[in-house]
Amino acid sequence: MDPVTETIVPELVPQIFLNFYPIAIVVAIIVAVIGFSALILEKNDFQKILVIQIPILAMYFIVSAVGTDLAEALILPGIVVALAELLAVTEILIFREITKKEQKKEALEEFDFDFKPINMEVLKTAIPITCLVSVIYGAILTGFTGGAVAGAGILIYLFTGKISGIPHSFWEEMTGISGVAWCIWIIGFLLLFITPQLWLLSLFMAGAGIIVKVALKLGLLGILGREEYNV
Amino acid sequence: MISPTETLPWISFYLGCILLILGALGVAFGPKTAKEPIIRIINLTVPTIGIALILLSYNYTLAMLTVLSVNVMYYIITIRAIIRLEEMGALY
Repeated sequence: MDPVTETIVPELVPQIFLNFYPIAIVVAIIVAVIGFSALILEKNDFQKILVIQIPILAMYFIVSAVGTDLAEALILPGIVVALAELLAVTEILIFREITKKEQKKEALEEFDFDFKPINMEVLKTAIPITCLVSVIYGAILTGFTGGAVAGAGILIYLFTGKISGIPHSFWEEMTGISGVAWCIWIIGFLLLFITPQLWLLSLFMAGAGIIVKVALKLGLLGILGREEYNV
Repeated sequence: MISPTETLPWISFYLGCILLILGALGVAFGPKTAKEPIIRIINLTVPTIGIALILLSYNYTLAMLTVLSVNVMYYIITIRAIIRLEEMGALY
């Protein structure tokens, strides 16, 4: 090992990950170039959203090439945030088309709007207990991974459209709880630095806070859908 | 001689790199992708599995689990958007 890598790279990184590093960077740059060139050629807005996933995958690859635990800690929020971005962008696209149609409606008086609940075979035949199982499994996992799994359960629950007993104000309170959970997460991190002897308490505070926050963020899409289409 | 700490990471790493490049080419310039968004979504599975293999070779268990679970939600969200846009006739 030459002296430069010996001083910069900590000894915790195994030699095999150091050997991966140049290959990883080259492959990730090639993949990113492929993705961006397709993005330039593409004209349709929705297709652009699909193609942008390739540079995102290249980004995960570059971050993971570092080879330490820090890289994993950076990838996890990246994955969940990319999904939240996808939710927001598709929602904006749909909403833009609705407003375009409403402008046309003024010209065509008798145009009829009836937005039905989402018509997917899987969502109709899926057992409702799938939602409960994924929420419980997410609670066991905790952290970003658990948040993603529990959020998937909430999303399926909201997309099926079978529920009608929950009032509208319930979901507004849930967004408030999401903010409180974020505060718990930050306090957990602060405790970890101020009083390191309380590491177990602060670890659990951070883990429990982030799962509630991520899961409720992903449940937000279903709330938007119900408000818009009166599902 | 195959050893679990030396040989297997290399195998999964190179397999992941190959899947990532081929899958990216398939998503970007594959046949019929310009007309059908569904084909593009199905093709996107290949680079995602590639990235999961690469994370496996780096021992990032949690990151690999999150990629695989988020991939499922990705299908639900994009296909919901396709259905909504198709209902309004705004997909093309």
